[in-house]
Amino acid sequence: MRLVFPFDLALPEPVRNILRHRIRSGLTIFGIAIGIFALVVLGALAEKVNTLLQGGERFLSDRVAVVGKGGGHPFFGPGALVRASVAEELLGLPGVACVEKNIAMLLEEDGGPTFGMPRIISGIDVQERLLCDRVAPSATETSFASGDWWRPGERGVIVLGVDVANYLNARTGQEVEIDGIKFRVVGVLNRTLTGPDNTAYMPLEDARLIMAKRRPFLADLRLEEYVRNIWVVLAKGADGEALAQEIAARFPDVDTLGPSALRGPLQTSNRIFQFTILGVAMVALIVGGLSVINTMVMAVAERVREIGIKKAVGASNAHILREYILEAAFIGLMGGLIGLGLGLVGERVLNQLAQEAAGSPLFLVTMRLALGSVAFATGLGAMAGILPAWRAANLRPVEALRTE
Amino acid sequence: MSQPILIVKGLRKIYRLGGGIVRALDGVDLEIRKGEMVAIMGRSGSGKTTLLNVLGGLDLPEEGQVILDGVDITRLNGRRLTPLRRQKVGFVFQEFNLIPTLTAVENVELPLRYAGVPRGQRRKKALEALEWVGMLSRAHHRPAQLSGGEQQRVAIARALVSRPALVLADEPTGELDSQTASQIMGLLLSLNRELEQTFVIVTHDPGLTRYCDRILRMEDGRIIREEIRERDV
Ligand SMILES: Nc1ncnc2c1ncn2[C@@H]1O[C@H](COP(=O)(O)OP(=O)(O)O)[C@@H](O)[C@H]1O
Ligand SMILES: [Mg+2]
Repeated sequence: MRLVFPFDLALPEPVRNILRHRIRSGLTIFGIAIGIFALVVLGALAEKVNTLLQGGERFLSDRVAVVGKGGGHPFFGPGALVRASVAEELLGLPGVACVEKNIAMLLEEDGGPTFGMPRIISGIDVQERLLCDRVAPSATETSFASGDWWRPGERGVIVLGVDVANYLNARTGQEVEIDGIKFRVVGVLNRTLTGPDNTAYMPLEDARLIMAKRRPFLADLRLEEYVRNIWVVLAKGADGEALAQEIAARFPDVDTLGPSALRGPLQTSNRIFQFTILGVAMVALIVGGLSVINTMVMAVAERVREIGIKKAVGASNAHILREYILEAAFIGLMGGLIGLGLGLVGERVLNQLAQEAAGSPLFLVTMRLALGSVAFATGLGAMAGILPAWRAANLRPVEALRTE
Repeated sequence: MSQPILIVKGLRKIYRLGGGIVRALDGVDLEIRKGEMVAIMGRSGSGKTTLLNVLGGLDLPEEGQVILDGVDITRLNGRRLTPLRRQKVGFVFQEFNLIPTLTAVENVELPLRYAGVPRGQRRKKALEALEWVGMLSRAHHRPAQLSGGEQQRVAIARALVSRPALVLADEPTGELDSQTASQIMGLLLSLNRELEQTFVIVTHDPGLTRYCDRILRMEDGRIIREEIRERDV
């Protein structure tokens, strides 16, 4: 006699049917689980980049960048210095909430290629930052896990994003050294899942010093009069594109980028990742779907007489159809849950490895990815169950009852 | 005598096999009254199963009428037949009657489940039906944990649970030893008496016909003889 677990009887009929052939069902479920595991892990990679890019888009959506002639995109362009004094003149323009002079560069020039966002230094004027925090808080989105901004005029101080802090293994109050210059950590930011996590903020003058050390040929320029770019944060409702044009017209020695020019490159890479997920989902769909179809066709073939009996006692075609689709959906659901579980373990392990190798996590299982994967697996099972269930539902009872 | 619960006129059913045709039913006329217990006998292949399937609305004839409890079921399509079968007919088959993954009481609940009866109510009715057949103590056993005779008792409870006008049993004792077979027939008889349940029972065993009021003998798709009995049990 077959082993009957007491919990078995508490389960709904479709699940009991799945348990009738544990090895067969187990293999099918495992097949789906592998597909969903791959979907979750690659999806987590994409979601990590996605959240980063979304953060970038939010950051860029309500600002205009002012750069030197030919400087291009402040993140991706070759860069060209712009006169710092332009900032004060911009502040008076209508539609401008606040401005921030900025000198951004890689934290380590020979840091090698990075996946996602590289770690950067961002030299800022803390008074400008405090003003922006006040008049346009949504534009900065930073909050402190410990410490705070430095006081105006302070030098040799640094505020670290969480991943930079982890990478440098530094806490508030400790010292870090960058390009031979010592900095006192005055604050560490909360995780934002986007740009600031990988950013080390320091006074503009300190950043200028590092830039000068790295680029000796800039020495003959009067460097203290220049910054790498100026962020113009828009007042609520201001038209960024129009403002960008207006600034370009007023200051012939600068280039400007409005919100759409700033966001453009991010959207392209975002799309590449969406296609990656789609590709993996297609593979999971085909492999998982076929094995569910196979399992359900076998189940229906074995249960012809049972189906006949159910019809004889009053089951309609719709009842049978529903029972078998439900069973297939349950197979998908179980595969999805197991795959998600494996994916979450994978996320942890891989992030641990990434942390050790690259200093920051690379994977992020978002709620929508988790729910989406399980829903996808369940839907996949149900879809794959339609054909076998349809066959079961349309069996003629008299013939079904003649089978043994 | 009570009113007829089933009136059958001129039933014909043909199967085409290869080149030839089989006249599985070849002009069957029949009347069954409420509370009767009727046996159908006949050699294998004489059309007994086909007749039962047509009477219960599982199969449609080529010709003729089946009026069950006032409804001509030969005029209904498959979609309309299903709910009718649910309400008016109970089936008991020879063997493998039960769904192996369901417990006895869940098997008995099936017709009610498909009829949309709420959970608590159908459980109550199913347990009551199990009590009629003496299987209450086995309510939560699976078919594999029951003997052949016990399985048939559960199948009978399932056929009775919605109190149908007619219960059709196709060789319900065919796979049982003679002692168990007698017990099952005795059970059917007592249900017939106590619940006034109408039964049509196909059987091979002449010994078992003594439980019935009337015996119909089939040959080549026709009823060739009818015996009316004084029940001697
Ligand atoms: N699906 C079918 N296809 C072809 N012939 C069938 C089919 N069902 C029954 N028959 C034939 O119809 C005749 C009556 O069968 P059946 O009603 O099962 O007889 P019984 O139950 O009395 O043994 C037999 O000759 C049988 O071979
Ligand atoms: Mg037969």
